[in-house]
Amino acid sequence: VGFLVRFILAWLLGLLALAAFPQIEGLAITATLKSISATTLPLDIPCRIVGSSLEIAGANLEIITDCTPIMATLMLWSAMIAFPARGHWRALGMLAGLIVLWLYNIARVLVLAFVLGRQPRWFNFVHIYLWQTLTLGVVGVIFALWAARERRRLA
Amino acid sequence: VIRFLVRFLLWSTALALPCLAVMGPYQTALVNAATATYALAGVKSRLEVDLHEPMSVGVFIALCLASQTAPARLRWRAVLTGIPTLFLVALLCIVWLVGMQRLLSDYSGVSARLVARFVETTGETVPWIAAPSLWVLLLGRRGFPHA
Repeated sequence: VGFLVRFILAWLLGLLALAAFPQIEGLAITATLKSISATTLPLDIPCRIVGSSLEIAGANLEIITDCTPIMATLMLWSAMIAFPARGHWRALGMLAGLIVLWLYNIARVLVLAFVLGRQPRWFNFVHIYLWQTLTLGVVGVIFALWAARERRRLA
Repeated sequence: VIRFLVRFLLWSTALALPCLAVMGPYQTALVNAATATYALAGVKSRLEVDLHEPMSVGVFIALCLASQTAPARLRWRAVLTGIPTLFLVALLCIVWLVGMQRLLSDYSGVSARLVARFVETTGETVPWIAAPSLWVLLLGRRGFPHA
């Protein structure tokens, strides 16, 4: 219960910080657009940034806050802050988590773009599934692996 | 840990399709319950919601079924308690979101914008944290896979 209370408090504080500094979301959107565009270059996938939208392989996707890894990162960081761990291990976990979630998000948006371009009727399902279920799974994997290593050290 | 996560992903993938199938009726039920809640308070309302519910219910059931370290009876009890609880959480979330939006519509300025954004993001992310939080609460340590 203690972990849960700390987790919810950290999550609410994070949301409050996001509301107080909307620039963070703006930065996340810009960085998401640029990183996806950069990823498509070596993969030889046609990609163009138009405002806050991406044109990838015939599909047009508008990138909003939910399309960035910001909420997933906030959830992971809240869990890591709530979990008793050494300071440097926590910092390392948060940094590694951010990188993994960023890469996962690029893959997620690319998959969504391809589904929208090739199988648009599956888009709704894939979007919801990837956004909620798989993202939660990825956050869970990162947190569980990180926490398990810390727990082994404490045992 | 990895086995648990594989089980969770398999269960949640299997449950995603039925959740999507009942999404329409489930959200209609949520809207009806929210409208009735407002009617109880003497407020007339006509609501429309676009949530991803009941995906969080699917995620929660998947977490419970994947928790093989907990006794089966406890897992099923958690599932049966969790489903109505998550409906209630989604209902409270809608009531909170709509209520705050109405309240804030009379105000402008930086603080009102800050509160509105906070309320919006809270509502958007509640489904994300409700399922795992409830799982931790109902199954506690017994739900966690042994490292």
